[in-house]
Amino acid sequence: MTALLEARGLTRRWGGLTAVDEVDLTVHRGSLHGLIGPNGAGKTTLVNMITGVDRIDGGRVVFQGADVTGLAAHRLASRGMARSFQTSQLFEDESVLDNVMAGRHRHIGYRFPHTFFYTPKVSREERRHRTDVHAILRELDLAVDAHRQVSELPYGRRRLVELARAMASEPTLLVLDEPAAGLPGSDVDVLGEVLRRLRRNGYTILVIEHNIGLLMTICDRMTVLSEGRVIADDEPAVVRESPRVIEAYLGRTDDA
Amino acid sequence: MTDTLTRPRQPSTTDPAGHRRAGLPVIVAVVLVAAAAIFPALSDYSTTYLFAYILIIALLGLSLHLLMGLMGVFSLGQAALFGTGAYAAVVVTEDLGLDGAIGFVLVAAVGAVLGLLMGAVTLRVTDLYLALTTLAVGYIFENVVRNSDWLGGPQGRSGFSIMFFGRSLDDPRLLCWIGLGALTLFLAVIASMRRSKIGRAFMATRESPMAARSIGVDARRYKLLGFTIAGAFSAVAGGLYSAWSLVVDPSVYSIDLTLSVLAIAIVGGLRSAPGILVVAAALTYFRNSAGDFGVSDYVLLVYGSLIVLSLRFLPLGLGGLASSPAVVRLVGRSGRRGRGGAA
Amino acid sequence: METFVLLLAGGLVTGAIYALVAAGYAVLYTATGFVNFALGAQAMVAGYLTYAAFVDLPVVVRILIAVAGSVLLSVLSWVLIYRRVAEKDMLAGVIMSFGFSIVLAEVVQLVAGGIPRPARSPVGSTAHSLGPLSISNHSIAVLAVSAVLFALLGLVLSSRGGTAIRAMFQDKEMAETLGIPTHRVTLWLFALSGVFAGAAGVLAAPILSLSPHMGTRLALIAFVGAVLGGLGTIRSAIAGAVLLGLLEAFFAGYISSDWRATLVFGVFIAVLVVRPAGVLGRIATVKV
Repeated sequence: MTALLEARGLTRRWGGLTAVDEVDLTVHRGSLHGLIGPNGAGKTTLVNMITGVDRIDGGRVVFQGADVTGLAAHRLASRGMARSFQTSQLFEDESVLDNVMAGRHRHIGYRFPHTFFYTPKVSREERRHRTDVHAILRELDLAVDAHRQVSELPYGRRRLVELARAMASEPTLLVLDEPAAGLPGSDVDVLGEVLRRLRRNGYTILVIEHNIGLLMTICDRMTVLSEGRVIADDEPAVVRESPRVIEAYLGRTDDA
Repeated sequence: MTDTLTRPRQPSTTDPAGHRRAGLPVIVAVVLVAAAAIFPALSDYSTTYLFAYILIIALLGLSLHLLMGLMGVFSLGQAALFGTGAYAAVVVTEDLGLDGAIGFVLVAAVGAVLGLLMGAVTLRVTDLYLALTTLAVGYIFENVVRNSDWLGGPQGRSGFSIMFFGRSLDDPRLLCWIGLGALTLFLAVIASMRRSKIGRAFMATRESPMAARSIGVDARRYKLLGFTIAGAFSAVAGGLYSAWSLVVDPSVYSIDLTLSVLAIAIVGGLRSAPGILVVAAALTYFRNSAGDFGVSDYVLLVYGSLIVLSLRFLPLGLGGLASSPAVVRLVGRSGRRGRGGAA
Repeated sequence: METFVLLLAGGLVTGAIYALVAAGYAVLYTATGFVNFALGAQAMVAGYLTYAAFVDLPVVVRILIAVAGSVLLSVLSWVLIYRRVAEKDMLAGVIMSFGFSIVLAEVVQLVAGGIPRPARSPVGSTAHSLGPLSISNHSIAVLAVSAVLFALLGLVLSSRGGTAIRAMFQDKEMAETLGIPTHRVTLWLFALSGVFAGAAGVLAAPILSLSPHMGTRLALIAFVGAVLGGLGTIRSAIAGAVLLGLLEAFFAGYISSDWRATLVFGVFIAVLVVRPAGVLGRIATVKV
């Protein structure tokens, strides 16, 4: 397996505080990689650094063999890194279809003057992308809601829309920030099934969760963060047995 | 709510595989434009004259629709662009001696460049500061033209004649047709952008800049693009205004204009082009005939109150009202009631 | 030398008036993030109440009525007009205050007429000469009154109330969980900003003369001053407004008074582009 994403020695400081401290993270092509840790371990900060949302104070990020350290978020997205957010960042007043179509942005090629005068070329291309988006919506069982406003949907289905939007960009790497946050137990299982299916279909996924139970069952590999440092990086079965993980994480929460 | 991830039992009524049909709105638009094009030929001089003014204001209203409604950028810079267009038209046609057919393209280009520059400045600042920066640009320009002898100083310039294909624009019918052409072009561009990649990029930037970046939208680029287009059309509106009023003086930069366009856009609904067009016609008619009703002292009071009241009670404006879920439900229900005979 | 001293004094006086309105902005902004553009119009109303409305009453009473009127407008406009909107969308609230300031100006114009009218300072305009400096009674009053008001503001803010305000700026929800009655604090802040706007109106009218639209200009220039210093803290906003007054005076005196608007608004754009937190403000995230 080749490494799709390699982060080496990533560091982020806030004043005197080191939120992320010399973190190494390798995500292999085609794998479902979990990133876990208790609240405040620096998971979201790390992901924000990797995806270009937050500043990097030290270390490097290599994506698809190219150094992308400090690249702006939209440039990383155009290179095939898509992400979802912990708190919903959907376009609330718009339809599900439009939300997900927005995710196609980097694949839509027409330019001036086509965009100013809805030419047949635009029409053709829009139709083609709409078909692709409908395929994604069907895959996530969202097709029935395609023309509903996002704000009308129940919480869980909105999280799926966010996943659909990220998928619509056909990412090489899909980064999901706590996709199960706020979902009731039965939905977490459904989500786990969705993620497993995506992985089988060839997606490389990096999932951030504090719900360790979900990740244990679906991940190929997981990285455990605690207080900004990596304390374990292995297969779930090994991580589960690691005394440091048990002490830092499992020992304190048993809600999984 | 346990089963939120799985599909709700009541599916939405729309056809999931279908996409919105564009046919009907296009036909309606074509009919409206044709009617508007015939109108000046049939009506009397003063009505045509008023119609031309409505078209000019509507162009400005639409530029706010693009900036505020679609891009989510609060701009008070309409007067800066409009005023510059007004002066540019005089300079281009009178001092350079160009025909309006070429001259107005140049005016649009000037507006586009100014819009681009304003956009570039405002990329550095957010929301409210952005609005005030654009307002400040207008104040600076007003100050500059007031002190510039070349542009006529405080008295401005008059006695010019703007030609278009060799015919003078002091014929209001010609003015109407050119205004209508510009408005139709602007509407077509906006409608096309809204349905395409650019429209979605605007939407993403407006609703969540973070999410926009995460799908590869370079928000800065699209903001510049939007400002450029809005600048071009606002400047053309200004140029038409010069031809309409036969005099251009520093008052073209007045906050009065910014205020009335803001009122029109807010009351009409920032997201709704038809709403803005209707309100532009209504308020401009009101303003124009306020003297006949003896209420001309109340015009600005009405505009200010409309901004306050509309934001307080009708945040999406009249256009938003027409498409709000509550109204759609209401209409739908009464329709069913009519057919089925039961509530 | 003489010109310099005169310009300095003149700049300080106009700067002090800008600073009163700027303090009104900053008091609200630092706690709520709201910018009330109607402050200038409130000042205008206070000016009319003092110098045009109740000419038969003793001047002290008129000033009290004027300040009370400004406070009342401030609080009522928040409760009845802005609050519901601003709590959802701050920017929409700010646009409303812009609209409301036009409404106030137009109402005054209907009632009192649009022609600018002079206002005679209650302390008179007798000039005193101190070496090269010649300064009128009114100018001294402007400086003294604003100095007292700023000192009082300092006292209020260093008290327990000040802590509450800072907490609100940091995190409104957190402030609420700490038991700070944010609704009530906001009301008090609007009242406080009303006092400053009212005082600005009473003091400005004899200098600018009364006109319905004097408020719009005052509101904008004071805002430019506040941004120049930094709207993030009350102190830097006040200092920035004074600085702008001085800048304006020296520019008009030494270079050209015709290009004053270009200077003021050019400064504004330059500051926002180069240093959005203000020249005197600490670099911090700009909240608006």
